[in-house]
Amino acid sequence: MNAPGVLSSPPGGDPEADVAIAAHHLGKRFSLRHERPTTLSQELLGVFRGGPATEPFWALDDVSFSVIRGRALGIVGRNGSGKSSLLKILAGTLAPTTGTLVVRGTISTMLQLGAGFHPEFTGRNNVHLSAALLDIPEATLRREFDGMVAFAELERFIDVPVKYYSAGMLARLGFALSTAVREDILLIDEVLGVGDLAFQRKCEARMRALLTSGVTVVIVSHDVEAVRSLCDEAIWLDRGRIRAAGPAEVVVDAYCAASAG
Amino acid sequence: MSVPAPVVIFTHRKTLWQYRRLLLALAGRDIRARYRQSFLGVYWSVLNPLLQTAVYAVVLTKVLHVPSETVPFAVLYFSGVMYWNFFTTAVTGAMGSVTTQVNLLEKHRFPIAVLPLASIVARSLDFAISAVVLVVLCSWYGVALAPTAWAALPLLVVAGAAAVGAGLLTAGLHTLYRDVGHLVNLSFTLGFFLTPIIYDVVAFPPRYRFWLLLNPVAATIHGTRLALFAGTVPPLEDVLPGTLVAIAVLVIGVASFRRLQATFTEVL
Repeated sequence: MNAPGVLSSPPGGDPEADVAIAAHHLGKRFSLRHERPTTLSQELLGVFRGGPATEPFWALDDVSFSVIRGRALGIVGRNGSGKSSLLKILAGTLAPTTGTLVVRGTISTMLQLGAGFHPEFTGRNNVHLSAALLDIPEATLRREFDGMVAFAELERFIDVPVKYYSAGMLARLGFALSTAVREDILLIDEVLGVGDLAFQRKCEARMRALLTSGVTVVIVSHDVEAVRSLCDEAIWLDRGRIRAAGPAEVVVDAYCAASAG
Repeated sequence: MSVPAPVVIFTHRKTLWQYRRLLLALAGRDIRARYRQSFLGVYWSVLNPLLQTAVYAVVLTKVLHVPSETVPFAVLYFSGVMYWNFFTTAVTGAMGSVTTQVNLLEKHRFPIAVLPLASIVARSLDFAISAVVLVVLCSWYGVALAPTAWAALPLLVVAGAAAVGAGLLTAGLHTLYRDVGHLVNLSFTLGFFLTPIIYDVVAFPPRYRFWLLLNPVAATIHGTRLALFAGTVPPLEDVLPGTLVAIAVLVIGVASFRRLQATFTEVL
């Protein structure tokens, strides 16, 4: 698995053991077909017209970065800058078009509100299914369940179908679930801002505890203050390219300055 | 424009087998969702084929006077339709399983094949219930199961392989072309009559029997009837062609699904 010349090897030990995520020149190209033919007749018409008009669109272009184990990386940028695509690639649900990506360790994700929750089923029911999705062992789930519900402050509502949950309740359950079991890497997309202030504090405290225990965290957020306070480093994505990378405060300041101006 | 292929390495990627708990959880959810807010719940999977059987039995024996030689028509029909219902509901369920659950694959990394497989597993429960109903039906009509009944068991594998293969194939194609849904419905309407459900294979013109039995579901039903009622172990020449077709369908289904699954999160 050694990629000579990609990472400099410090003397002694596994040279890459401390890098949790290493991305080199990642690119993601989508084909923008303004009308994607989904039926045969449309496809046939497309053939006669000389193929469907597709326009290549690089959602990510030449993105390189690495995250050291136990550190937090923040990703900021405007809507449509490729933040979510990048996180999906890190989560493995989207394949990059170009580049190299190495992810070392088990992954827990919290991508969007109520990800994978079935509206008709109760919170308890959905937690069991999500636990299977996140591959949390049955025994662990039994042990952690009450604590998780308490953390999410949903004791009274856990047996109610989640279609009656508010956005805040969904966010709380999702966060409690994806942090209930310590995985090596935690990927979080744009969900911290939903809970109220007290819950945001609780989330921050838990994230800090996870970071201290060696968990690597990647956060996509418009909440620049959260990125500033939680993350060690940050990258600023602009139309799919890295516009700035470095210490979180510096990058966030630059991003804020550009957005204000 | 040529682009060098990406290299993606996840050191902790799990195999399909490690996701068996997810598979069972999804199958359980599928079953519960189907019977949610219905008073009769799971009894529908008994009632449905029984009512179907009653209607066909009355129409074919009392109105059209179709003679039934070996076993009472209700038993003959039920032994066929239980496989047919399993196959068609499994394929239909598997086909829609990916397109209706995009929210899951966008947010979690897991082998996508779990989705169609879970929906097929969910339909196996209905099949298992049907099998019990068949036994009850047999004793009701005084039909004794032959000592060769064990020979029906390997045929379950053939039916399962055909369902998994066709389910994966249609699930993958359905994400690209919704035409597949209509095509499958049409072929099921025709297939019902080209499968020995309301008739016995014996009644089929011998010249075309080979072609009839190429259909894995037909071969399974025919073999099961021979084993259960006629007291003969199904001859290889009757069940082997269908078995080979089932294996071919399985291979094609698995290969096409693997090939197509990388594009799912992009086209859906």
